[in-house]
Amino acid sequence: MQENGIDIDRLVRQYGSLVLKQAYFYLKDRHKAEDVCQEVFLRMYKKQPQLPDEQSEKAYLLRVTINLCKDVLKSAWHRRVTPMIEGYDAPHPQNGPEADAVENEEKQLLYEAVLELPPIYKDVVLLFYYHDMPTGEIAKVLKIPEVTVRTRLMRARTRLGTALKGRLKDEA
Amino acid sequence: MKLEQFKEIADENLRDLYVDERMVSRIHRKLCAVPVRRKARVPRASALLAAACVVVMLLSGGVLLHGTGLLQPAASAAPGAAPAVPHNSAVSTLSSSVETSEYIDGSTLSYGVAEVGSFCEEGYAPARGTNGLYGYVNRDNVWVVPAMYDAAEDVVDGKAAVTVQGTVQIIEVP
Repeated sequence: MQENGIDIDRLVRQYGSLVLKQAYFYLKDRHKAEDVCQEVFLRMYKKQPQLPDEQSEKAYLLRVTINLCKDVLKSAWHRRVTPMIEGYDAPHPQNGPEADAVENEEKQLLYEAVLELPPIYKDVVLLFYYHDMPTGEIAKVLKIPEVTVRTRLMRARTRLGTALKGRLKDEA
Repeated sequence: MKLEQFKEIADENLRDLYVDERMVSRIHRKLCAVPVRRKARVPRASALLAAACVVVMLLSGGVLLHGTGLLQPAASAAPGAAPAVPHNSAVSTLSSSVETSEYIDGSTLSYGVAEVGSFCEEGYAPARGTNGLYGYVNRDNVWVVPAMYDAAEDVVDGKAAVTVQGTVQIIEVP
């Protein structure tokens, strides 16, 4: 499925799961994430952007995914409907020692805390820590200055630290 | 707990979330149904100029260029005889050369509907294209799924079985 130099089949197989997970981080709903994932590749096909290398392809797909997810979050339907918590998203029971169980719980709290960050902080945290992008590349994807990226990263870390301390105290 | 561990934690949580073959074929079907508007190689300005020349020629009956030997309308070249190229066909050929529609799999809209099967409640029917392959049309005989399958069964509840290279697949119509 190649058109004007863009091999959509390859892109879907190479970046499909990445796009799907990125959408899930924002929407927390598998079906909505699948719809967004489909729309991302549909838009790419219609737009036929000139992307010289794999880094540009990934950056383009992530930018479109983030924008589409924010559109969905702003939509009236999404604001009125609460997504159901999906089974596979729940923490997996562990049979190890108590220390392992505590560590797993902390990991789960961190995961949930990142997903609950406001979108402007979640953008930078996901791109930096999940997609391993340097701050310069994140600035290009989000179309903001690199200094802003660093500031948001710092504030996101502070917020996460506060949220995790609070939750761990609640748990104790 | 370090934030650097987030990737590992997220991958563990979302290990069941990935694009499988079902998702790939779903995206593929959606893309196949999107006609791509392509600009033809003929530059628009020159196409318009050519159209203007045809109109001038037709309106003037060849008066402007008659006698110069450069351009002789068929009617004036052979009085009483039918024009070599009918006016309408000259114009339509010109306009159709400006734009062509093409599906992602390379099949163009140039093929027509050769044969139509029975329509379902939703108003779609399997049809054979003049390219020899099968797709689905609506009640206006417009392709809703391009003719690209070796065989196509009737539509039931928006789904239909099609055969591609000996493999039977279930697709959603449209």
